[in-house]
Amino acid sequence: MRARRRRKPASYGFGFLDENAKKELRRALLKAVAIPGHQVPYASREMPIARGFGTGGLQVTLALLGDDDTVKVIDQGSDVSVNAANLRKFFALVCPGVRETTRTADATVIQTRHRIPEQRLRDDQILVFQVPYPDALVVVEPSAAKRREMHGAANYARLWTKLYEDMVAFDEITISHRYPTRIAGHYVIDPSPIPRWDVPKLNMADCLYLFGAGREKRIYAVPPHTPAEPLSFSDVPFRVEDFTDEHGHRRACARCRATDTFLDELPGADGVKTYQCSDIDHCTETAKAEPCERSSKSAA
Amino acid sequence: MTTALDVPAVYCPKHRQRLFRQLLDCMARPGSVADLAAWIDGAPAALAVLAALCDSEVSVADQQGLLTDGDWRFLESPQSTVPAARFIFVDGATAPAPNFEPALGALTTPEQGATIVIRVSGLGTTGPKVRLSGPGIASHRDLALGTLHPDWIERRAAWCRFFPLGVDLILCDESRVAALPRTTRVARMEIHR
Ligand SMILES: [Zn+2]
Repeated sequence: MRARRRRKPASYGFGFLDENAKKELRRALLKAVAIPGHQVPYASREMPIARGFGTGGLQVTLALLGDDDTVKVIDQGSDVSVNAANLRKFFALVCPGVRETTRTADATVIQTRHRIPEQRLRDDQILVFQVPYPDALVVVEPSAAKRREMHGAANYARLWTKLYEDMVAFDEITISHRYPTRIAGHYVIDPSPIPRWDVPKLNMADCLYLFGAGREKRIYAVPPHTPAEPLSFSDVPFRVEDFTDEHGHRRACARCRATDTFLDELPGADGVKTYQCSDIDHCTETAKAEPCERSSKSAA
Repeated sequence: MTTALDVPAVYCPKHRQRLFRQLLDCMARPGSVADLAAWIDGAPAALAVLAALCDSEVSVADQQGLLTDGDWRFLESPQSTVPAARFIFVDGATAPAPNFEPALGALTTPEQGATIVIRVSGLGTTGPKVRLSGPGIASHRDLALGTLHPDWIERRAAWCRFFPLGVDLILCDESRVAALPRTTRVARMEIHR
């Protein structure tokens, strides 16, 4: 034969990853869903972005996407940050047919760093978290092998002790992000660096939550309609962030006036702090809807 | 020369992706029935499940010889015994043999518990109904098990007794699938004919 057949373009087919890599991720994803909160190991592939920039979430999303999906990417609530925009473009480039969106309601798959959208996600939506540190036990146990044993036996005594010591020292649990959360009464997960505000959204959700940690090569999941309880003590209950001002009023978003969202603090030009929704899409939608709400409220 | 036309639909990447998403949804919502007909071109749903998930890296047990030589060639999976297999393919109309012992994983590696793909008929429409509850189910969900032999449910309860150890079942009829992950509690309901 004169010309050798060209090698199959397998490594750059739809979805960037080769079919075997996707299948491995998909097997791990199914087991992660079947064993809620358990960190399932997988072989992480080399990705065109540096580890620590969401390779785990990226690989999970690539294993999910088909040409009928609509994908949204948020970085700390923002669709327009360079990271979010680049990732969204990458998905559209390597998954021909996939539509990009910034609207939460239109997305079938949402990849996120550090936030859960304010709008309650539906049962036909999947939220993929980029996870820098997948193991909630890492603060009390350096050995990965020992941590796996503790997880398997649901032995979280040392984590409880750590939280208790925090409470005694600071009068409240001081964890602001990555709040340890117990899934379906067994595994305790690191829910990634979401604020406490977002933790209750994991509990009995309609959507599926998937977590990908690229450096540690772990995938875990919180299925829909699954209990997710932040660890807390009866006398020091779990609390979300408090956005009350010095007069005891709930702060409102400066842009959409919402008083029921997670707010980012922004330094104003005159040194006065202003507050704005961290979830930009939700803020935009609320700002659009507000005139109607106002008139319906005044009518009521 | 092999052309794309020779490859059955269930092995095409696009179809595998659709099949996987249906399976993921089934696993996340135990007992919900998905119809795969649009993506399998007449192939049995059970074969589609194996095609979506298996390759040369995972072993498959098929004691009853349900797979053809052609199926094995496309799957590329090494054949294995039941206790060593990651995926087990069985006909659910007959009871599991007393010595049928799938891998349950270990405390540190529960993901190594087997996935059992069980072929039945009339999934979701005929046969005894069970009431399911647990993760993925808002309150409860009822599922008709088709021709599944009742021993499977009893043996499953024993395999899944010590969470996180256990097996995950994927029930398949001609074109439909439903999953029973190890976390699902299964209660018998009155048998209606
Ligand atoms: Zn706002």
